[in-house]
Amino acid sequence: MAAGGAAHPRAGSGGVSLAPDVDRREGTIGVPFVTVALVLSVLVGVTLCFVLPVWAAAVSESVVPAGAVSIDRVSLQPQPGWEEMPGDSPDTRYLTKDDVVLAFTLRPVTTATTPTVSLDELVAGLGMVPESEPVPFETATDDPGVEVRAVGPDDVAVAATVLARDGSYVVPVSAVGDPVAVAALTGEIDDMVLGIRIRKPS
Amino acid sequence: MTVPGAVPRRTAPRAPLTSPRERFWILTVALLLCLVPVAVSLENLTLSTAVSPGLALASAVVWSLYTIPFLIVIRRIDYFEREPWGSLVAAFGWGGFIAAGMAMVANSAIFDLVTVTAGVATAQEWGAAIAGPTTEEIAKGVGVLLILLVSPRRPRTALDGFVIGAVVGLGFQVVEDFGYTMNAAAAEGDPGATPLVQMFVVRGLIAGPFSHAVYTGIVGLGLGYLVTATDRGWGRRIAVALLAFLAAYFVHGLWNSPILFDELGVLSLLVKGAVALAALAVGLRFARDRDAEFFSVGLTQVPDWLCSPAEQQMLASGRTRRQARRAARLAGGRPARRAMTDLQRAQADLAVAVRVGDQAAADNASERIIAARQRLSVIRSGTPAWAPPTGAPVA
Repeated sequence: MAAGGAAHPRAGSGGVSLAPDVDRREGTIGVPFVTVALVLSVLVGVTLCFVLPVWAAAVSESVVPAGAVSIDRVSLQPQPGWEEMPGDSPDTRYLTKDDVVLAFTLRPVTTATTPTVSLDELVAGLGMVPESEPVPFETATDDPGVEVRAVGPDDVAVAATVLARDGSYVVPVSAVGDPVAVAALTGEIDDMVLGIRIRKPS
Repeated sequence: MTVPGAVPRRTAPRAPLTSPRERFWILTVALLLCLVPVAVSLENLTLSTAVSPGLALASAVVWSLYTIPFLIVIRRIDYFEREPWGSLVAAFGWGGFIAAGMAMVANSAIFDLVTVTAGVATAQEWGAAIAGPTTEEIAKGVGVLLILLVSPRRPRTALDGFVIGAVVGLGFQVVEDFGYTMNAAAAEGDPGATPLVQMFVVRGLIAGPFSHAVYTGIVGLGLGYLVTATDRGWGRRIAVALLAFLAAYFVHGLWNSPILFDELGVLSLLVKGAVALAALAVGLRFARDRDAEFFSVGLTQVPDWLCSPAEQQMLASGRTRRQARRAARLAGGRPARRAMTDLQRAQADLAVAVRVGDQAAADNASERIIAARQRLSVIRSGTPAWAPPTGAPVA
C-alpha cells in the first residue's frame, strides 16, 4: 500500500490537515484482476452447481434401475432384469440381479431406526459378502418409511441410491444416515413413489 | 467547544477497490451465482421447517442469538477500521444461503462419486472430509472475494478479509446448525426442545468455536492480503492467498475426518480445534501487526496533543490498549475507563482518517479526542484543565 496522506498541524478545525483522499489516489484494483476474479467465480459456481452433479451422474452410467416402491400402496414394481425374492416379512421385499440384493423394508418411523430383518443369513445363503451396513431411511412423520440395503460381492463396490421419480432428490443410501440427506427427503416422501437404483463401477 | 462526553458522528471515506462499472459486473455475476444455491437453500429450509414450525422458530431465535458474541469478537479483532454493517450482512447472507446452497448440491455429487469409486465404507468414513472442505471453502471463498471487491469501504489490510471471511463462515455455520437441528428433530421424531438442546451443545458450544468462522476467516486473511498488499508482487500475494486456502482446507478436512477419533474419542475434537485455532492465530498475528502498522503511520504525523508517541505505542495492540484502560480505571474508576476507551477509539479513528486522507473524519476524531481528554482531566483534577495548545483552535 502506498504511503498515506501527509498530515500537518494547521490553523483549522481539529488541528490536522490532509492530502487528498489516498484511496482515490491509489485508484481501483484494476480491470485484469476483476476480470480474473469474475471468471473464477463463474467457473466455481458452474462447477459446483452443474458440472459436479453432471459428472457424478456420468460416472454412474452403470446405474441399473432396480425398481420402484410405492409407499402408499406398499407395492414393488421391479425393473426388467430384476427378480423379486420372497422375504420373511410382508413388509420386506427383496430384489436380486447380478449377485446384488436390494432389500426394501416398509415400516413406521418409530421403529425404523434399527433394522429388524437381517440380510446376513440371506446373504450367507447366496454366498455373498455384505458390502454395506444396513441404513435406515425414515420419514419425519408416522408415515411408512423406506429402508434400503444394498448387498453385493466384496470385490464390487455397490451403492444403492434412493431418488424421487422426477429426479429431484437423489440420496445415496450410504448418506441416508446423514441428517442433511434425511432432511432433503423429509416431507417429500409422502404419497411419493421412490425409485431405487444400484450403482456399480463399470 | 464540544461538550465533554458527547460523541460526534463519525464519517467514513468511500472509495471502493473497484469502479462503478466493475461493481456492476461483479454484482451481476453474484446475482447469477445466487439463483440455484438460494433456491436449494430455501427449499431445504422450508422442508426442514415443515417438520415442526414451533421448533423451527425456537431454533431460529436461538441460533440467531448465538451469532451475536461471534460478531462482537470478530468485529473487535479489527480495531482500527471496522467493516460496514452492509458488508457484514452481505457476508452472512452469502455464507448462509449461497455458499450453503452450492455446498448442498456439490457435496451430494462428491459423496456420490466417492461412493461409486471408493465404496460405501470409504464414503461413510471419509466423505465429509473430502467433500466438506473441497466444496464449502471454495464456495465461501468466492463470496469473500466478491464482497471485498464491492465493499463500499475499501479493504486496506488482510484483517478486513478476515472479518468478511469469518462472517461468511459464521453465516454458513449458523444456517447449517439450524438445518442440523431440524434434521435431528425429524430423524428422532421429536419436535420438542431436545434436538435443539443437543445440537446447541454439540454443534454450538463444543464444535462452534472451531468451525466455519475459523476456516473461512483463514481463507479471508489470504484473500484480504491478495487485494490489499499492493506493496508486494503478485506472485507473493497469490502464494499467500493459496497458502491460506490450503491451511483452511487442511483444518476443515482434519475436523471432518475420523483421524484420532479412535485413539482420543471426543478429546480428538479439542486437538483438531486447537490446530484450527492455532492456524488462525498465526495468520491473525501477522495481519493485526500489519494493520496496526498501516494505520499508525498516520499518527506519527499529527501533533502530540492529539496522539503522543506513548499513546501511539499504546494503540498498537489489544494488550497495551487494555492495560491503558485498566490503569485509567484504577486511577479514576469506571468513568475514567470509559473516557480512556473513547480516547482510544477517537485516536484510532484519527489514525484511519489521516492514513486514508479523510479530512472530515480527521476533524471529527480530533474533536472527540479533545472531549475525551477533558473528561479525563475532570475526573483527575475536578476541572476541565486540559485544553488544546494555543494556535490549534478547536472546532
